[in-house]
Amino acid sequence: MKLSELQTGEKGVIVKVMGRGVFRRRITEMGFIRGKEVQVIQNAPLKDPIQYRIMGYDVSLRRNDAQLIEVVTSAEEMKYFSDSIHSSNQEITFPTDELRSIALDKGKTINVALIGNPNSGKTSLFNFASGAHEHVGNYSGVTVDAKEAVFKQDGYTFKIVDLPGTYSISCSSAEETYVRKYLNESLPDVVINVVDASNLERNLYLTCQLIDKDVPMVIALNMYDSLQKSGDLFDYQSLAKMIGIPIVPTNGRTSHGIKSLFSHVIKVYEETEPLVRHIHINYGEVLENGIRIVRDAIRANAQVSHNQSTRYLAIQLLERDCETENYILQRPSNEVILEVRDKNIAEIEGLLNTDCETAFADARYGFISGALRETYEPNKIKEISRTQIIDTVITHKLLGFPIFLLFMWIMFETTFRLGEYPMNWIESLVGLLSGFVEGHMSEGPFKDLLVDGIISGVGGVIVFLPNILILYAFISLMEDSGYMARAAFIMDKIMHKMGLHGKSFISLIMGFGCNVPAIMATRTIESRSSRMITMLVNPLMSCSARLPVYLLLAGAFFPDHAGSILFLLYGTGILLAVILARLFKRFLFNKEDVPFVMELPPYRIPTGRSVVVHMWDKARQYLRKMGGVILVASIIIWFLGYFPRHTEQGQIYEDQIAQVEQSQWPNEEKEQQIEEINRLQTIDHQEKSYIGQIGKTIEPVMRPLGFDWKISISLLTGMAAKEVVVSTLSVLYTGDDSDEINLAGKLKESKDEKGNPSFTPLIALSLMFFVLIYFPCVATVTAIVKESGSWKWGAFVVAYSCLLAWLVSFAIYQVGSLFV
Amino acid sequence: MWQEVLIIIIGLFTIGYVVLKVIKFFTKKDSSPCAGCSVGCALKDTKEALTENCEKQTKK
Repeated sequence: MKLSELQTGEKGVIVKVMGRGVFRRRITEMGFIRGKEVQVIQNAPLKDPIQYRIMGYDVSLRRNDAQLIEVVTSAEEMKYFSDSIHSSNQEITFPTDELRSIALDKGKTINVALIGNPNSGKTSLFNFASGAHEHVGNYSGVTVDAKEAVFKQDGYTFKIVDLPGTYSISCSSAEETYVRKYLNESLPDVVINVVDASNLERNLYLTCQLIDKDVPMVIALNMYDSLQKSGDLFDYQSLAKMIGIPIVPTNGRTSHGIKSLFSHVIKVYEETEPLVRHIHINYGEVLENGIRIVRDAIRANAQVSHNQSTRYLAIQLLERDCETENYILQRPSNEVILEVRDKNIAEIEGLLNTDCETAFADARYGFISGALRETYEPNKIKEISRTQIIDTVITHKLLGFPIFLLFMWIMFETTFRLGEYPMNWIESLVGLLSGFVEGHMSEGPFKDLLVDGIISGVGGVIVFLPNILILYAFISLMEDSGYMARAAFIMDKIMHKMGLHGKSFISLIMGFGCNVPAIMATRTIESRSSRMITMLVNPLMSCSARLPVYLLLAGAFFPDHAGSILFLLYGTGILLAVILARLFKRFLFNKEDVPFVMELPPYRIPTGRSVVVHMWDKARQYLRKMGGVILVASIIIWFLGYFPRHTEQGQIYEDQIAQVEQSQWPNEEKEQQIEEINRLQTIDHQEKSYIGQIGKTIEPVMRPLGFDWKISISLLTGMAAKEVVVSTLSVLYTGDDSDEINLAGKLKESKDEKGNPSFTPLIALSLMFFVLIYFPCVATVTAIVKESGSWKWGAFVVAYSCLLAWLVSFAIYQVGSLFV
Repeated sequence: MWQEVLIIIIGLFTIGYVVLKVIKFFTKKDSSPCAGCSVGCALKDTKEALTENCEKQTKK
């Protein structure tokens, strides 16, 4: 609770004092320190200021200032504990001593924000510190939202927030605005500025802005080992003394230095860190003069919260920062301030012959350059780095693209070939389980549900878990090594041709895993038109949920070329995305794109931990799907296929079987006849079941694509999640009297009532392309609606994807039928 | 007989589950893009935890 929220007469004990600079110093000198009791004496007539009693004397504080002091009250603590003690209306009052100890305990919770450039290793630090498993990649833009975790060290509770990577805290991009808003509104106790040691100059630019903003800070000098290995010398301790901020070398890959980092955070929070002092970056005489005049104008006219540094506001105003301008516009006498600002900008620009923003940026880089000249010594006999050597081949203008394609092909081939062995083992286990239930349970509908519904449906999908894990291991290796960023670099030219830039490619590649986070990752794209196009074409990136369908059909009908088929499908997805993006750019979003500089991070050897964490997360998610949506879908499909149970036609088949049994035919012929009658009975029952009736209704639309009613139904159920296509096929094709134990075999043997095969390689190909393109799952559509802010775009994606899928499959089946 | 009874129970349970999910999908006002996801993943967990935490803070 904030001190400003206390009612007249109410008492509270101070938990922590937020705020900065002179205000914080003054307020603590007055006795507003952790553990002290404070009481509201009275509110002024307009509820501002408020009179408080602390340490026996009365002081008045403005409501805005009181908002920066956190307190704990008896009522608050009682509410906090009420759930556990189930107290009735009886009022409990905590004695002041107890409240004080609660306040002291609560005061040991430190809110920490991780801020740094993209790809500086914030999320790795976050994961190591908190034991979380957030997605980490060796390319920028992985974190698109703040992630929170809580952990303890040295008796303190840390609430850490991993913020999106940003090069500065201006308001020129969504991430910058997000980070700045967080700093202004959430007021973290300590900021950890993660600085990539291999790129000091650029990373320290953000540090300069944070110094201006005057936030309590510790610098994590991440990847310091890479700097040492390169032979460069960096006296970080001297730099720490120079800028008044503790610098702690860390290694996001091995967790080295993280404990020490948080020990420094505690010291900064407790104000026991001897190094800490607030410095002003010297911007040179002209700019400093302008800053001073604008700052004075702000101080004299605007009633600015004590939480805001007036010097920082002045700098931001001179840099024509739109958000700061809006903030000042809400203050009294804003015209005077803006007039002073405009006059000074004109003066600065006249004197320096450059615009104000550039002048400030130059001055910051000048400061960094000066600081590094004294503390940083690059290796004079610097060898060509490993990264440069690898890049001469990997990003070569002629070799780069074939290498990329080769790598993708190897990935799909390995996914299929290597995954085949564990897949067969799991398949055998599922078969054993099915056989065990079949052999040990009495006949009845529950047994049928277990064998034909649950074991078939769930077992049909679970067998593909190893393949998905292998694919994820590859994607993880690509991300962590830095190859993904190169892939984006290689694709940049194509992306430009389709009206996007390389940054879109990262989001598109993420779509290979799951389209939902990929659509969320488009937040890092500054241009709305690029963002919308990336979002709309993202469902064409084949997500891992579609992989079981491809593996099943490619394995069954193209066993010798399964890897190539996978490659063809994924490639087609990318190609269609390129074509559609071009069309969308031409007809829907024809605004010019903002310029974007693509960075290429150095190559790093991926750690086993990171790969295993990725694979484990995926396995967990996949298994959870088995017990959730796939289990429920399998049960529903089985119910719809099992009922209604008794039909007139059923009796006719049973009479026919009885007639055959009583006939004088040889036994072998009798068995054949009965088998055929059973097959026809099963087909007839399925067609007359509820699911058969639904399937028959939609079959005419899907027939031109080669799909019978069972395939049509599986596509319909696959709208919930694409794996359900496989579980539906498993349930629907279990009813056939086939000796085959695995689904692939059943599909190959399946025949319609006329004896024609239900599946041919051509139908399988047509089906795989349909699954690739049609309706993105419900979650993806919802993500598009939420991110675009309109149902219109969700509906648009559903409509275009279904239409396109139908047309592509129609073309494949009809053209293919001419040759096969 | 017991198999028929069990089947009815499972059927009713499944219908209830689906109806609940559908109602939740259309009625829950959630700013999370993962709100409609019937499957769930680590990202969804994080988002839900954040929302829950936020709601608790608001109530306090």
